[in-house]
Amino acid sequence: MNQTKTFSGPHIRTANTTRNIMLHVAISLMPALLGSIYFFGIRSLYITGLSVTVCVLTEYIWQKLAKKPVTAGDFSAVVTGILLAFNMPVTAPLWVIVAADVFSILVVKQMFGGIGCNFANPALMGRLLTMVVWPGTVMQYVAPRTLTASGFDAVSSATVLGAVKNGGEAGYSYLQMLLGETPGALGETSKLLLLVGFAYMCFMGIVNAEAALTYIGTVVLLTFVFGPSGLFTGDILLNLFGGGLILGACYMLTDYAFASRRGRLLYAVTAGVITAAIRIFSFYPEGICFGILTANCLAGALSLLHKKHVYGVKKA
Amino acid sequence: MKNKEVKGILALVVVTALSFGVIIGSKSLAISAGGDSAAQSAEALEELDVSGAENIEKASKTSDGYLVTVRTKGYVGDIVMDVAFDESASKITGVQVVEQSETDGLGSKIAEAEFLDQFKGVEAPVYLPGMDVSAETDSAEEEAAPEEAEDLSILEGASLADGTYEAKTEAPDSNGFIDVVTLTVKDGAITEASWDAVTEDGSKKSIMSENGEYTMTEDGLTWKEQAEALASALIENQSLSFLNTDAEGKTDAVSGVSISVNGFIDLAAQCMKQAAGLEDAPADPFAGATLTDGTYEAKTEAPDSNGFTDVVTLTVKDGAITEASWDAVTEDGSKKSIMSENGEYTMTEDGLTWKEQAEALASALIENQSLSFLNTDAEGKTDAVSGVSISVNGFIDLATRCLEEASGIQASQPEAEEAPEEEAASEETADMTGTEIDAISGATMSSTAAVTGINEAYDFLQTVK
Repeated sequence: MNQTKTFSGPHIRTANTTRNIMLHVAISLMPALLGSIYFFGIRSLYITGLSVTVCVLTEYIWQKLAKKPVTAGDFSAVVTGILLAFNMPVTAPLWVIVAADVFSILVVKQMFGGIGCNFANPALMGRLLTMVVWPGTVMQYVAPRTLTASGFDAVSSATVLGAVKNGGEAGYSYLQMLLGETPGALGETSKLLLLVGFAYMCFMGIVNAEAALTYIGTVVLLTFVFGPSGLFTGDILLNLFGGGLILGACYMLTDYAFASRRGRLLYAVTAGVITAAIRIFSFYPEGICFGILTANCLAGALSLLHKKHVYGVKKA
Repeated sequence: MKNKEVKGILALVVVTALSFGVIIGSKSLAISAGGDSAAQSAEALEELDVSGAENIEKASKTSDGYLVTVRTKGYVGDIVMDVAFDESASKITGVQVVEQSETDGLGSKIAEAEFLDQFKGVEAPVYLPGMDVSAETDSAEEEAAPEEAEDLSILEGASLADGTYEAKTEAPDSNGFIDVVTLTVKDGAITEASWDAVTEDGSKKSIMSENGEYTMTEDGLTWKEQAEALASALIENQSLSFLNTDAEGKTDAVSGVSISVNGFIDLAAQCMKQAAGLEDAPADPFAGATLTDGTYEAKTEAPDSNGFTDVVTLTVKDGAITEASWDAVTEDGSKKSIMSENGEYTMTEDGLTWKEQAEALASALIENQSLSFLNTDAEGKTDAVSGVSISVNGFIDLATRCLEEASGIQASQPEAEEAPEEEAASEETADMTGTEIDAISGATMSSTAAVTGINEAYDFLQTVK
């Protein structure tokens, strides 16, 4: 029964139902999940499992209570749960993850009308909540395979971008950044595995790589041009592989789809400019979360910027 | 459609497997490049109890000796090493770096055979040229314990003068914290006590522990709560003698306190000594000293965590300080003063740049002709020079060294100092059973960490053997 239950547009049926798309997205995240288990230990799996369970349950209970059609099985909550866990360090306390899950699904997604109606990416909003409310708990990144048996004794270390932002050395080679041998959130460290998953989504035709590539290109270009020691001194590979750019571009940004190509590119460039500006000028080393969320919120305004093709009206 | 899905998933599985091949392959390449696996070839016969031994991850008796896994703090991150010893537990048979994140091409060389092969078949402890091996092998706890007993007995029954006393550790610990204990004495009794630790950038451990940036265990009291419990126990008892400690510096005298309390005892004892008049408050040693004309320079021996080496230069003419400067340079020659001017080294959005502050300090020194005007608080900040918000301890230390040279109080110029030091080192070599190891050039910190780790493994074995 691959029947979708869509209650807001679009209403044109294709073989790619919501459930089908989200299932593929979830599948495409599996390599990165395996990577997180390899890098940060079995707790990664527990965190991700907990996050998915809480997300689906929250959606189910809310829809039951609100007497709405239950769409908790359409895998969108599963994807949100995985992405939220991917944004957390392995040291994150379980209650923080539960709180972020409930907030994402209940407040950001369901209270705005459920899938398709939420104003911003629920997983990113969940991350934002934890960053603002419990910063100490979700910023304790540890290097891969440093968690000791007793759990939390591991020395927390700065992410590569964080270390460089504070005037230090990256401490990791570009290859290590690409493969994922760096401190960071669960799912963001291995760019290689994320790209494998993204390639799968492209192959299945459920995602358009244009927006992601535009976003990545904008961030890398701007951070290169306005580098830390003058024009054209930015570290391209560091900005590309050092942080959560790939995860954001491949899985967070594409949550929003514009009907038109121009709108999509405009949206990606906007997100890229904001992300790059945060990386260059602000205290935060990453900027992905704020960049994409700001673009999310501007999506409505952006769609006004370009002329819509209105059907059934004679061209003026 | 179905066919495509099957193809897609199959491709995903295959590519994922390949990716893991690359990831694991690159890791094992890095390890195998780091040395042979001799250290691990020996079969473990008996696991040794490592509880209570800091930094020792694992230790076992093997068929031909001992194998100890030790973790030390390197320049960038932790360094984990397997150190194999023969049956005597003093001769090293092999060292392997299991995990390290040192700077590529510099510190990372500690994982290479050229460095590690030096340890094969040598007698522990090992040390680098110029390294004081005796200090390296004594664990801090052992040193502290007997001293404490002595201090405390002096303090028993001593009458305390009213006032507020502060004592802090001289150098930051491995996490960058400087411990500070403050005691207030009123009518001969301790009325207030506090213990905190601050980092160079002014973060307080108490605050960090409150908002979860400094956590120790999941449950239990935070560091701040424990420090406060200790402080109030001190006020209640009016003496430190209630604080019994075990070998690790833990105490069961105050319930809920699980942190190591040696630092607190040490500093509180210092405060009480000051209060009891047993230790004179630090006075300006240069008051009235005549300064010899000349230009004096002092710099920190090792770069700080940002790679800066501080340099203070003083010029003395006709017995008075006529010029003073403070700057910090990185290895590649960038000056902090210049970086702060063009915005590469910023501290606060508004306020003076680092350069302006350093210049203000230097001219204040010239004006006062002495360092004693520079009062500092626990964080090394001063309010003696307006607009100066940076930590001035480094400046004071280095300027003191310059003044020492100039006044001849400690008639030792850095250049002249080296010679006797080397002599002492060679004397030590003659006395010691240990072995000198060559450091990796350009990576003293990483090399030192590796050597420290090996010695810790050796020390551990001596305790369990």
